[in-house]
Amino acid sequence: MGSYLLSPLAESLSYSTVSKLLGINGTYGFQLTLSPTLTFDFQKISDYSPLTIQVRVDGTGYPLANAPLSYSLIVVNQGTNDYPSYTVVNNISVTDEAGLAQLVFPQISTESQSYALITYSNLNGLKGMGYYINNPADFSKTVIPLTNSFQNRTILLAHSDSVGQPSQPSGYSKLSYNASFVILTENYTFRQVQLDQQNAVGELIYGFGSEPDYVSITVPNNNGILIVTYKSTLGQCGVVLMPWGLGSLAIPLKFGGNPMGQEWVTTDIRQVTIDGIAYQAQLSLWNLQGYSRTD
Amino acid sequence: MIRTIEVLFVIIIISGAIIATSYFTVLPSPREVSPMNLRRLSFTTLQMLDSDYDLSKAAFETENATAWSGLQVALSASLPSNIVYNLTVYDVSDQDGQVYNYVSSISNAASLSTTSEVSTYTVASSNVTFNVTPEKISEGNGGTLYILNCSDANGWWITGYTAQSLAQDLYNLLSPYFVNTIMVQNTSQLARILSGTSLQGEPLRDAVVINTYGEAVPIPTTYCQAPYSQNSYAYYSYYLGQRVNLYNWTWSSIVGYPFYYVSNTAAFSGGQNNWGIYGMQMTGPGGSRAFLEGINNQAYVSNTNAVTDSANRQVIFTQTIADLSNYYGIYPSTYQTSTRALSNSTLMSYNLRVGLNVFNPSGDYLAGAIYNHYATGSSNITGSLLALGLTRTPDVRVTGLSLLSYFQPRLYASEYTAQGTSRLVILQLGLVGSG
Repeated sequence: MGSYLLSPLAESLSYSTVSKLLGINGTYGFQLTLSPTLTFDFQKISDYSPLTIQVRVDGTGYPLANAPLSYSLIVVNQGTNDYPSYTVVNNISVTDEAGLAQLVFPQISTESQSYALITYSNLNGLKGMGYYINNPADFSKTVIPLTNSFQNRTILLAHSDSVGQPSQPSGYSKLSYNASFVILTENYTFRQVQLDQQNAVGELIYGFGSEPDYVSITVPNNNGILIVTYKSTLGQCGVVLMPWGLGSLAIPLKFGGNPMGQEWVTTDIRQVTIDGIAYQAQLSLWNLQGYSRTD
Repeated sequence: MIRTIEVLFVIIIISGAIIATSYFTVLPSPREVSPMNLRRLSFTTLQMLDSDYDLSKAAFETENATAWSGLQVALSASLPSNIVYNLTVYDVSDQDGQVYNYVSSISNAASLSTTSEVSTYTVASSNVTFNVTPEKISEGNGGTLYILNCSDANGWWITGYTAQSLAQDLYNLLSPYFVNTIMVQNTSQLARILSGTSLQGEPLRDAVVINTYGEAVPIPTTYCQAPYSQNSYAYYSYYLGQRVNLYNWTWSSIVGYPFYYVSNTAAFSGGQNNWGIYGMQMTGPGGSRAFLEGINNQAYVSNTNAVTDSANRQVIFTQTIADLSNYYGIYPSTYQTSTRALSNSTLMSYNLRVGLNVFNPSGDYLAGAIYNHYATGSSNITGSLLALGLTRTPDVRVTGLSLLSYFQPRLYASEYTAQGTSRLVILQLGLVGSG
């Protein structure tokens, strides 16, 4: 929870369409998987005063030992402001022989504090990132970003009550939000890009007459991360992240059919770099018409 | 009865043979029929490790235990757990008659299985810089570039820039290609070169002169009087044309209508160009006509007929310019807007021929070209004009690319295979449990 990469079906290609375009529809099945080479696992050692999080960095075959770890903690400013801003705390650490690092944050003094932790590691060209988001457990309302148009770089920010299958919850609910966009610099810190538009700050109201419960914002012409901080009328705060560009949050991707149960599945692997993040691209291919020996 | 027994025996024998064959026949596994392409995995792994030149650095720091330990961890972490590797670095040189000399290696297995593949990757030392040395234009026969950078003149149609900033950009862009690049710092220095006196002992003849003032031309104070002031200083443009002819200069107009204004902030301090820019005097279309008369070495006659139809055109680089854009590494937009394209037939009447088309012609109108003057009956060039009739504001890269495309100086790249600067990295991958 806390990060979204959702796009409308109209903007997406289906497996069957791609099979037809490739000319293998009905003859071969395939699955393309893009997986970040490095995986980051976060485990809370203490919740607050100070917040201590253990990060484990693993490669596909071995832990990433003795590797530099840069991290940024995005702390939501839960003051009286209706449109909550955030503060970024940057620091660096190093993983041990087992690929572990303990990060301590005295800034987090309450369990209800909302924050997002984003970590990067780069060892000899092998680059990866991971993130962890903490929102109060009893705060179920959230802002959901949805890709509206890749071409026009527009994103819809929707109230969570209005997204999903009917029936949605009844009743009135308002979230005040503050959206910003950051891009990653070379030293693994964030540079904020101004979202110079009216909808960058506003309100999402669900269950109030005919008013739309979503707004549209346009992101800059860079890959980066959309950060939305929000607040309910009861004063509870939260934060959501959305990557613009697959590698911005090291999101994995799986596309195609299911190779489970298929006979004669052949696979191939390549190392690729997406938005500066190391990925492994794996293609599995199988014959849908069975196999037979031909002489 | 006997036949029946014989048939039964045959059936038993054939069935036994089929069962025995099926028992001993084992279909190959998918891995054997279509094995993983370890060579491509190996190569893409090396590419990934060198994405920020970390592999290049590590290959030249084989004594640095930290760097090699990091490389080993990165390799182990990036490869699937069922793959073993051996990475070996060789120095590339021709010492002792051996091209590849072993330097160091790392591996996570005592020996690789028989099912293994290798890929190679050549890395260069970070200490090496690969220089490109440009040929000098007209070396031994001129080779001078004058850039007008006069502090006592103002420009027009260079809105957003100053002539001085454009001059600096042109200096950075073109000075490597000329023997002498001289900034003409004021109109007094301009007067000196117009009178045939060099500023720093440079050859004056066959020079290239770039006017960075757009539609205006700096005028020295000593020329702000008769006869140069005739017809709103059109006669000064005539004089410039004569000088271009005399010294075989290539006069470059970077934007707009050439010779439309003259500028001297001291002499014209109270005058403006009708658009609020002081220190300037409007000459009008008579300036271009006068220049053409001057370069053609004919008698001066006031002529205020336009040399352009001022139509709005979108123009595109010629194929030659587009190709040389890659050669010189200068990339202005291929499409430009032109509202001051010069009439080719008009310029031909002054014995000017197109030496280089910068943009594809639009009928009789050329948005950018270098014209060469040939006196009647002569095959020698006596003065040239680069006229870029583009709309403001100017992109001086178009000027630079036009001049380089006209003179076409060669670029000499430094030797890539310098000794001790290259190392060969070989990554061998094997599948655990196969073969």
